[in-house]
Formats: sequence, structure tokens, C-alpha cells
Amino acid sequence: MKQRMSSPPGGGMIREAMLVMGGYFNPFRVWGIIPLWIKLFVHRRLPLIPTRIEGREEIGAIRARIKEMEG
Amino acid sequence: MSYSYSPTCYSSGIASHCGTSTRAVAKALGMEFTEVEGCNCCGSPLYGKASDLEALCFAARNLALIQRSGNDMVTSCSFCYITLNWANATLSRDEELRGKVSEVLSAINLDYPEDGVRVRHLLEVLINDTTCDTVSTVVKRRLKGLRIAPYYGPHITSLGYGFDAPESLIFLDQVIEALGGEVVPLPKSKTQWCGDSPLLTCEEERALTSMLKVLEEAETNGAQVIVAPCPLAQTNLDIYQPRINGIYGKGFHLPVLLLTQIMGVAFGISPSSLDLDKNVVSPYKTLSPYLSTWDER
Repeated sequence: MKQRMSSPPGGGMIREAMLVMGGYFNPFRVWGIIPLWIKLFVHRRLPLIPTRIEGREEIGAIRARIKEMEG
Repeated sequence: MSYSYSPTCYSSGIASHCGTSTRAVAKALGMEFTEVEGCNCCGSPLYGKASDLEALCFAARNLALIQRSGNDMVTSCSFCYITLNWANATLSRDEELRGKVSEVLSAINLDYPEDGVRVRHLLEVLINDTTCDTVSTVVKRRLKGLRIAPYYGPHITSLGYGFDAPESLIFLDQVIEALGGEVVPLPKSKTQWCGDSPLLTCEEERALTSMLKVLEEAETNGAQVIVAPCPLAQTNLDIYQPRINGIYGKGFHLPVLLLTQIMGVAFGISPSSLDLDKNVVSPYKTLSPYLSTWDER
């Protein structure tokens, strides 16, 4: 669940495919979700190339500043 | 009218048909969208899970970018809508938090707008600015005889930042009527929980049971199509329908469309410009009498 909490990721936008892999890795759940995943892929709804926003380095800067402030 | 518009995580990813159809419909209605580059995730996944400060900073970054365009922001994502409005409301009443957020934003040379930014849901804009009369005049093919169930989803009215009281949700119904469709009410489930993030819902069983109630009520009441104004609500009901059929032994085949997709159909916009082929439950057969160019996929 850590991955989910640290959204938005470095690219600035949530990427469902990666979140499933990285943040919710449970072999049984992944097994169950494969048909759904294939369906989404076939319907062009799981883009392989992640969306990256302009100024995405600011996401990291915000996190760093908050960390500093919260000690 | 001019509005600031920023593609959300969902409308540039798993629900990209939302972005495509929203732009197509806005163009048909003469709404001018200024796309704001660089907006990040609104912070909703953090909401209530990480520190408020972190969630607020991500929302405030978006608000600061939107403020530069000088227009109201319009979004079709109910998650973004409530998160950004929550940030506006929280920062206007909590001076200490506002100071902290300003401090964080100053590290990236942005200022949180003192008076916030007006964030509006597309559905509310359609009713209050565009008006149903204008929508009616743009309709090229009235959806006469099409029985449409309006499903608002759970977020649009949650947290008190919604534009309407839950007991009197009628905006979606009004737009459907303006398109010539027949409203099939969902009195019990129109704001039923949809499961939130489509591939990540922590409580899958609860989410599926909840969605089952919406589908059952829609089918029982005779709906041919379900329409949702939110990409999350639409995506969940659409992509999980085969799974619900498998788990609960049902045989649902209810196309679930975004509000902007069904509007586009009535406006005579081509199916490819509305990304109808991205819907998992194919709407082509049900919509065939209303489509200008019907290409079965």
C-alpha cells in the first residue's frame, strides 16, 4: 500500500498499471486481475508509455520540502 | 465561454475516452477550453491517507497553475472536483495550513492563489452556463426511445463540496431529457459507491457487491444504457461487469457510457471521436439506431 500512498509518482500522474505491479503485489489478486488487465489492454486503456507532466521535477521538490518541514 | 481544463490521471490513462469525448462535446457546444499544461494528480489518492499537508500541496500546485489562465476550472472527474474544492475550502479557513502550503509552493516558484480558484464540474457547467436549451439545439439525432439510467457515482456529492443535495440530484436527468432520452431513475443506487480506483480497490468484494446493486436496479427498471458523469464511476461499472457476471452468475450486458459519450452520440459526433470502442461492454448494438456511422467492433 505504500506505493498507493506516495502517489502521485515522479511522472506526476497516477499510472494504474504500475500501481498494480508495485503497490498491490499479491500473487492471488494479480492472478484474478489478469483477464481484466488483458481486456483493458485490448481496448487501449492501459497505455504502456506513462503520462509525464511538464515540470515533474517539482513533484520531488514538493515532497523534499515537506519532509524538511516535518522533520 | 472560456474555461481552464486539465486532463486528469484517468482521462489521460485508463479512461482516456473521457478526455477525448469531453473535448469533442465541448467543441460542439462552443465551449472554449484552455488546456493547462503541467497539472499533476490532484492528490485524491493521498486524501485521508497521507498527511493533509502533502495532499493539499499537490492540489494547491494545480490550483496555482490554473489561476494563471484566469478562468474557472472545469473538470469531468468527480474525484478531482471534490479534492480541489476540498483544498480550496481547507486553505481558505485554515491560515496556518495555508502558510505552510505557500511555503512549500514557494520552493517551486508558485503562489497559492489567495482567493482560491473556482473549480467546477462539467455537469454543473452544462446546466448553469451552457443550459439544457443550448444542449437541445445542438442535438442532431434525438435519443428518442433510448432508456437511460443516470448514475451519478458516489463522489460528486460527497464531503459537502458537491453541487447538489444527494436527495435532489437531477442535473444528469435534465441533460438526458435535453438529448431526447428517456430517464430510467435509480432511486436506490444513483450515488452508490463504485469502488474508487478501478484496479486498486482495497475492498474488491464490497466494491463488486455495491456495483451489483446499481446494475440490478438499472436492469430491473428497464434501462438499456447507464450514463455516468465521472470517469471513475463509468470505468468501474464498465470494466467490472464481466467479472460481476462471473462471480454472481449474472448475465448483464448493460453498456455504461460517459455523459460526454452519450451527448456526442446525440450531437452526431463520430463514434471514433468519442472512443466508443474503448468501452469494455460494447455499446454499438444498443446505440446503432442513433449512431451516424455504425462500425461494429
